[in-house]
Amino acid sequence: MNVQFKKGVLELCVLVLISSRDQYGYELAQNISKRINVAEGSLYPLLRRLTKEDYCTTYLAESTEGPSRKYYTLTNKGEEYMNELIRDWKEFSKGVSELIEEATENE
Amino acid sequence: MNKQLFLKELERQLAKVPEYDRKEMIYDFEEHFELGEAEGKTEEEIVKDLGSPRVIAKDLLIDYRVTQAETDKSVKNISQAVIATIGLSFFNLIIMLGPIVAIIGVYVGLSAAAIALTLSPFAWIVSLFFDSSNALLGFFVSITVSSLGVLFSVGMIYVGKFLYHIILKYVKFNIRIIKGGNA
Repeated sequence: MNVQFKKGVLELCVLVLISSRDQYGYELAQNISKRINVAEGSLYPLLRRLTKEDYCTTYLAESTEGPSRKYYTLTNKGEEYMNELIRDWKEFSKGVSELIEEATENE
Repeated sequence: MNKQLFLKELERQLAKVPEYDRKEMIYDFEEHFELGEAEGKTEEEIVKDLGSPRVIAKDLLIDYRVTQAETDKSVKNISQAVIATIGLSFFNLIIMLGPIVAIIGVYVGLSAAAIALTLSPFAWIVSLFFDSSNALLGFFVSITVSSLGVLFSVGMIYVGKFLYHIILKYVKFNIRIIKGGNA
C-alpha cells in the first residue's frame, strides 16, 4: 500500500457501506465515525469526488420526516474499484500483522 | 462554533466557486445539520464532529479547480489548480513551485526562440537599410530560417498541450500524496 493510506481507507469504508445498501451522507458519517475517528466533514468532498469519478451516483428521496435526503448508490465501476481496494487492503493489513508478529516473537 | 458560523465560513472560503456549484456543496452540510438536529444533537456537537470548515473548503475547492482544468483547458484554469494545490501546505510550495517554474521557464524560452526564428524575414528587411550587398542571399536564408521557425512553433504548440497534461497529472499526484498525509 502507499501514502494514500488514510484517504484510501475512508474511501474504502464509504464504498463498502454503500455497496451493502444506498445511504445518505449523514448516515454514512454516523456509520463510519462509530468505528473510526475521522472528521465527518471530509466525507463530503470525498463523496463529490467519488461521484465525479463515476464510482457512485446520487438521487434525492423524500423521507416521512425531515428534509429529502441525497442517497449514494454504487455503480459497476465503483464496485470494481472497491474490490480492488479491498484486495489492496487485505494484502496490506496481512503484511503489517505478519511483520508485527515476527518482530514480537524475536523479542 | 454554531451552524450559522460554520456555514458562513464555508461559504466565504468557497466564494470563488460559481454560485451553482457552491450551493450544491453547501447543501450537503445543511442536510447534515438538519438530520443531526433531528437526532437531538446540538449545533456545536455537529460542528465538532464535522471538523474545520476551512479544511473542508480547501478540499472542495481543489477538486473543483482540478475538474475545471480538466474540462476546460486554459492557462487560467491550470494556474488556479496549481495555486490551489500549493495552498494545501508549505511543503507543496517547495515541491510544486520549483519544478513547474523551471519547466515553464524552459518552455517560454523555447517558444520565444521559435517566434524569433519565424520573424527572421523582418530582420532581413531591416538589414536592407544598412547593407544591401548580400540582399538575395539574406532573403533566402531568412525564408529558410522562418520556415524552420514555423515548424518549431507548431511543435511547441504540441509540447504546450503535452505540458498541460503533465502539470495536471502532477497536480493530481501531489494532491494524493498530501491527502495521504493528513486526510
